Amino acid sequence: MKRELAAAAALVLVCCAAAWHTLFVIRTADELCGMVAEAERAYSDGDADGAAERLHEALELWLDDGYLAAALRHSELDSVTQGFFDQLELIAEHSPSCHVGFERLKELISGAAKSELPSPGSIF
Amino acid sequence: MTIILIRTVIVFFSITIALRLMGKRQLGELELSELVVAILISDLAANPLQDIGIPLLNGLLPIVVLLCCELLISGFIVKSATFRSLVCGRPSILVENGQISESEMRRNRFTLDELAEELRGQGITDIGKVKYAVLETDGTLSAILYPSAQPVTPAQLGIAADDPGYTVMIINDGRLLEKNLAIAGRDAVWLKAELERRGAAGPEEVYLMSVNSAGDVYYQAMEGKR
Repeated sequence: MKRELAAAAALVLVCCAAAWHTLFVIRTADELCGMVAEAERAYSDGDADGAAERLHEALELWLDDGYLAAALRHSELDSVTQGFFDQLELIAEHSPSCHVGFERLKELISGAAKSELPSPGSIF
Repeated sequence: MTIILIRTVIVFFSITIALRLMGKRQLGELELSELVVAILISDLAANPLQDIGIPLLNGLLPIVVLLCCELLISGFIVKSATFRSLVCGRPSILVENGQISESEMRRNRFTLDELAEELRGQGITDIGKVKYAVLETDGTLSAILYPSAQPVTPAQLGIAADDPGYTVMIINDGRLLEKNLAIAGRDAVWLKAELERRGAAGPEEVYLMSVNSAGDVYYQAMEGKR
């Protein structure tokens, strides 16, 4: 009976860990998207340097997160990281497609988070 | 390459620990749920070994979940006969009183060739000698012969059979197993006398030594010491 109780407790623990993981990923993605949105506003106001600085902060937050580096698929990690660098390049070049780039980066970040969320689409 | 090496070691020990926790049944004849778990574990665990882009957690977490599910299911199987029959099914009597049940054979998709093959594996070539043949839930076939076809026992001949008792290994590849020596009801004095009688200076010169309750000793010295 002890073994079965331990198994049930372990399953509950795993479920709680999975729930925490989902919340953490969503919270981090929201924070990063918020920082990208701030960078976008700064760029729209003509402050390209401020936008790049804000984006750098978001990139550092993304790269320094050891848990996400271990928990997410490397393809997702690489896509978002590449998205950050591509957007920094667009800002530096004052490219006309900069605003689209901001949207794309936010979509990449939220897409990486959505792939961790349980939904009929992701399960089936 | 180093990553794959480290992951392989982690996954190997994780699976070993998981199967060890599941118990001896997992290694022997498998019930349905146990077979499912065994297949899944080996397949899931291999994914992060083949692609280092997949987080190692994606291989280890399923092992933990499957282990917990299997422990819970096996626990319920022990507690509930209904649950057991639901998960494992019921044994099927393929041969009853010497008659092969065609309906049971069809239901289990068991052919006569397979029945003959399983019986041959148990040393039975004449199906006429089989009184009962039961297809167990783990897929093995148990055959019970007619009494006239069964090997005769000492009791039937009125012979008092010697009971050698349980044989215990005392020395294993040069190592003295003191716990087993105590289980066999022997002590170091007895061991020393036995070794001296056989010309051995100590347990390190013995490859295998065992003794049963009747005092019969099996002794084999190490190569080079014989």
